[in-house]
Amino acid sequence: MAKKAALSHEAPYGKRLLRDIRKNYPLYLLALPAVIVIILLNYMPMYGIVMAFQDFRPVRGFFGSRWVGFANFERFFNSYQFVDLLKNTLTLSLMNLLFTFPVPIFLAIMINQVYKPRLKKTIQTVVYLPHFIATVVLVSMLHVLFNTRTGLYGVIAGMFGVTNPTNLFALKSSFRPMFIGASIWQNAGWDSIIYIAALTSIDPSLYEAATVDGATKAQRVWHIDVPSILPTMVTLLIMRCGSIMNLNFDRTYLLQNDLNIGISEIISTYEYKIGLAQGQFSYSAAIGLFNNIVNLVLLLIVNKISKEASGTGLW
Amino acid sequence: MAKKAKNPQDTLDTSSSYLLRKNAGASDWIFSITIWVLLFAVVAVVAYPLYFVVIASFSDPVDVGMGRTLLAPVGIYLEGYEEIFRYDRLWNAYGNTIFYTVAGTILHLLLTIPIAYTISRKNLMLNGFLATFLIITMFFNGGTIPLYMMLRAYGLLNTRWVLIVSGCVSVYNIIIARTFFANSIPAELMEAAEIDGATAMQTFVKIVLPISMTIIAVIGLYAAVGYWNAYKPGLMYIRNDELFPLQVILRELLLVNMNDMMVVGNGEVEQMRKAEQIKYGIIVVSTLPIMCLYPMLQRFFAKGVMIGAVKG
Repeated sequence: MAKKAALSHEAPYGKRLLRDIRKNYPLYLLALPAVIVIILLNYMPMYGIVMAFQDFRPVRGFFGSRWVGFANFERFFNSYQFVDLLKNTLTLSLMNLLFTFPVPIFLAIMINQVYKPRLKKTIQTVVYLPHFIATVVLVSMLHVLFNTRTGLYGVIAGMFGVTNPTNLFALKSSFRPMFIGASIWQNAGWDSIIYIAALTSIDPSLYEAATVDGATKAQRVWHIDVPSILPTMVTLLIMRCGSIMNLNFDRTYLLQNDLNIGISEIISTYEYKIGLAQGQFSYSAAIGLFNNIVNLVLLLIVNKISKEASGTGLW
Repeated sequence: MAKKAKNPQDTLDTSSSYLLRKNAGASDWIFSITIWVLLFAVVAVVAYPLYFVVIASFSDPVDVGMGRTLLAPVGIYLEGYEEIFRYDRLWNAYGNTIFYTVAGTILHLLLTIPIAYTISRKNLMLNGFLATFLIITMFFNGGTIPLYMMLRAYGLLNTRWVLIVSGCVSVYNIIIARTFFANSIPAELMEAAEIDGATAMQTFVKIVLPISMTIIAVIGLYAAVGYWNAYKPGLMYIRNDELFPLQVILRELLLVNMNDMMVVGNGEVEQMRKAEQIKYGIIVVSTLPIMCLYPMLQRFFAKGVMIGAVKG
């Protein structure tokens, strides 16, 4: 037996692999359908990126289209929209990160202070709920609730004697607050789950010891709760930084209108419009690839910094 | 507290710590009150808009506009709902979305659960490769147009299939399921089954699946909510009105225009009255299935995040 085991260890990789596959093929077979689908839906489009370097014509396909090198990228970098798009995307995303990131943390710490299990459960049920509302419905709710005449907004303004309040949807400057507000309303509760889980796993004897030493509730939160969710915070922050360029397409697209388009047009909505509405396929693919690469580079940088600074990283 | 009795020196300390404790009492009190007030505000901000939409949908739009329906419905008015129920285009889309959700969720489970089980097994040589293969897709993708062109090449555009296939695998869900299999199913159980002569397939179907209903429910629910709420695939891949999912029609009705619905009524005022209610009513009708299922299934929804949070 021992000799055989030793032998199998020494066997060349290819041979061992072959033996592994022969022995475990039923398990690999279970993975096969998903692998095929992922190749078709994720990897083939990655191959399809070649069209960003072509003058792609659907009739000619990926093989027959003319190669143009970096022409599509040059066109994008030189276009008058480039700076605006980049600025809009980064501003919206960073503001969104700044305002949405801390909310679930505060929420989790507050919910963790509720000691009555039934009440805690009820609060959690309520705050998780908006996560399951479709973006179309969410934006529609914003429209009906902020209607200047019949919505809650108009009604409340009327109570204060303002008969004709500003239409927030006609105001360019209200786009970002509305986007961020909707994002907090929809996701803060759901995003707090992971922190609540981390908080409930804290050893109760830590609190007891702190109480005996005379720590106030606020001190207990600051010195016990906050440090114990710090690693979770760092991991989530890295992941959020790694998707800086991936803003929620649906919410952005649905909140756009002719009046706010100057600040609401971001790279992903522009990519969609140029590609599908205007049929400039290669140009759109180039824009998408640019977005993707910026994102990837940001993720790598943030992960590296975090690893050096705190030892916590995604890999 | 226990120390105090043992050591007389502590008595002195206790008097000073008593003062501290008294201060602590006051600050704890303020702290607790602040938290209660904030939590109440949070719950109100989340729940009230939803509540308002529901009561506004049953009330007379005139009363809604006058602000009489802030707490309870006033002047029950249902003609808007009648109009909604008569509107075939909405119900066709509703049926489509139910079909996409059911078919898509089944496909999603059939693809996700088996591969998650495979990569949860520890002794497979290809698992490192499979993990990398999956994780790459989380950080890099082809982009909107290359995906569109591939779907076009597969002949899926403008068919029911494209909406079932979009979102049929999620690497995130695979990782959650893998973590569940790796941490919640005892390895001895699988070894015992295999020693008893069960094939890998038999072990998976007869031993593992029956005790994994929680994770199947969790992933199934995530997939179902994803399909029900999906907007982008319908917007991009479907041109045929018959095939549109609910969200695309909702957007047209609620955000673009309502003229299409041919609201009939006596005069313009009556029409506007109905149109207002229809907006609230459509929101209620389209969100109802999720809102009805949600409180019952809430524990499953949250469970997925907990499982995913455990690093495997």
